[in-house]
This record gives sequence, structure tokens and C-alpha cells, in this order.
Amino acid sequence: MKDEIRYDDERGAANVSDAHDKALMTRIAAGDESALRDLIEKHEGAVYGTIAKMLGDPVEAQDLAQQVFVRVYRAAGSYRATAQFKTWMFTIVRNLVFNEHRRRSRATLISLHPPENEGQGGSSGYDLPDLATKTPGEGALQKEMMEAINRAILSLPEQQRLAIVLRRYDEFSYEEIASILKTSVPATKSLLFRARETLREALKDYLEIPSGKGPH
Amino acid sequence: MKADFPNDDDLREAGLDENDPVWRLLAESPRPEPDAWFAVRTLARCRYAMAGAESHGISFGRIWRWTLGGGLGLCLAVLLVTQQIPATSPTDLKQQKVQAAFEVMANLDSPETDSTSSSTSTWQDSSD
Repeated sequence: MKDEIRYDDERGAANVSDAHDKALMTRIAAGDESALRDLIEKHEGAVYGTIAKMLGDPVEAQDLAQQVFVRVYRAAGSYRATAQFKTWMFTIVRNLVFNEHRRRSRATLISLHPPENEGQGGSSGYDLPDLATKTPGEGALQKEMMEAINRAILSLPEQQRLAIVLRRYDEFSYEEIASILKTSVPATKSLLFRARETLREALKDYLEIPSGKGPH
Repeated sequence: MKADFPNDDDLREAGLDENDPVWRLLAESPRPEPDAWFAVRTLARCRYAMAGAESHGISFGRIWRWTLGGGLGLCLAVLLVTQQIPATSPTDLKQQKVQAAFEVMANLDSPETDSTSSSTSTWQDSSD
């Protein structure tokens, strides 16, 4: 019962938010720049954060996040509110991120050096949260754990990675993730299950200890 | 009412129950946030992109018009030139000359020669 009430509230809020987004798109199409600013400010955290988690490169993430909003702006005139705005926008995110992955894959084939911040060993490149409140030892352990988590996420195949980021950090529903990934709901659940199992294996050292205390 | 909401079985199936340690561990690495000037820079980039697209659109339109006009003009010129060139080829000319020569020879053999020129016929026996 409690879950139903909470879900109704969430769904109601999501509908209001979607209606607001669509109204903003209508205003943007009419040339209202303040609507564009509102839209960017509303979604910048989700768009930038998702791309940064996907790429592990904050500079590249900023460039791609800006490209997402440029595309949204360009498409405002032809935008038809047939689907949820956020799902539509994250389909753009998906396309850009996957294209960037393909570009990097080609570049890696040409270059002898692996891309920085990707794969094992390198720093994740994220801005770490303020660790000043922790002791130096705790701060170092926290940083190490964050980097391990980011590395583990970056090691996932791109579909699994996007599914887990959208679900965990953006709280998308299975239906929305399936729509963004252009797949079915069962396939989305399967992607999430496999991603979680891979992360469980990669982060097992951190799972056996209380949060924030380091692996050993 | 609850139809779209993933139930407990779904959550267990996908392993995304919030009690899952992996799920809680991921929260230890929060999503990065953009800097304070991200929106301003993005707005500027949108303006720049649209201005670029508009000017690009104009130049593309110009190029398109010039290409279309130029192409039509070229076609017209080619059409005019081909109309003026005689349809006979050198081979045709040669055949025409041979034909003309045959006609001259045939006229020489003809008994119905012109009366005015009969006296000068090369085939007339002058001994008569």
C-alpha cells in the first residue's frame, strides 16, 4: 500500500515534469531562449552525469553533454511529443555515447596507447567529493573505492553500462530503459542482471567489508 | 494501478533490490555534477550552432541555386551546339562523294543525253 502511494506520487510528479518539458520544447521552438536555459538547467545533471559515468572522462563528457542540448535545440522545431521527453533526450545521449565508444575503439586500434581513464589501472578522472571531513586514511580508502567502482562500471559492455547507470543513478523504469536501448523489457532486466553480477565479482573485496572501510 | 511498477519479484529477478549490497555500493560513487557554468557555455554553444547552421543553410542554398542554374545553362549550351553540328560524319561525306561520282558515270552511259550537249559527248563517234 505504501509502495503504491509512493509510486503514484512518483508517477504523478514524472507526468508533471514531462508536461513541463514538453511545454519548454514548444517555447524553444517558438524561439524562447529562456526556455532553453530552463531545460538545460533542469537536465544538465542527469545528462552530464550519465555521460561522465559512461565515458569516465569529464572533459569529453562535457563536450558530449553540450552536443546533446544542441541537438535538442535543433530538433525543437520538428519535435513531436509522442514519447516522454526525457526518454527521447536520453536516446540522443545513447546515440552520442555509443558513437563516441566506436570512435574510441577505432582510435585505440590505430594508437599504440590505450585511452586514458578507460579500462584497468587508470584514475577514473571524476571530480571526487570533498573528503576533508574524513581522516587521511579514510579519505584515501574512500577515493580508492570510488575509483574501483568507476573502473568496474567502465569495464562493463556499453549496453549493460548504460542500463545500470540509467537505473541506478537516474532511476529510470525498465520500460524507459528498454525504450532508450531499443530493446525489450525482459532483455533490459537481463542486461541489468548480468551487469550486477559482473560488478559483484569485480567489487567483491569491497562488498565483504562495511562501506567506506577499504578492501583489506 | 500497480501494473507498470516493477514488483518485488521483478526486482529480485533483476537483482536490483535496494537491499542488494552491489546496489548500495554503487551509491558510494555518486554521479558527477557539471560545473556552475555548464548551462551558460551550453547556451552559447547552442546559439553558435544555430547561427552556423543558418549561415551554412544560406550558403548551401546559394550553392544549390548556382549549381542548378549553371547545370541548366550548360545543358542548354550543349543542346544548342549539338543542334548546329552537321549530322554527317566524315564517313558519310566520303560515301556521298562516291555516290556523286557513280551518278556522274551513270549519266555518261545514258542514251538520252541532252540534245545541247550531244555533240560534245565523249562517246559520240566523230568519224561519222
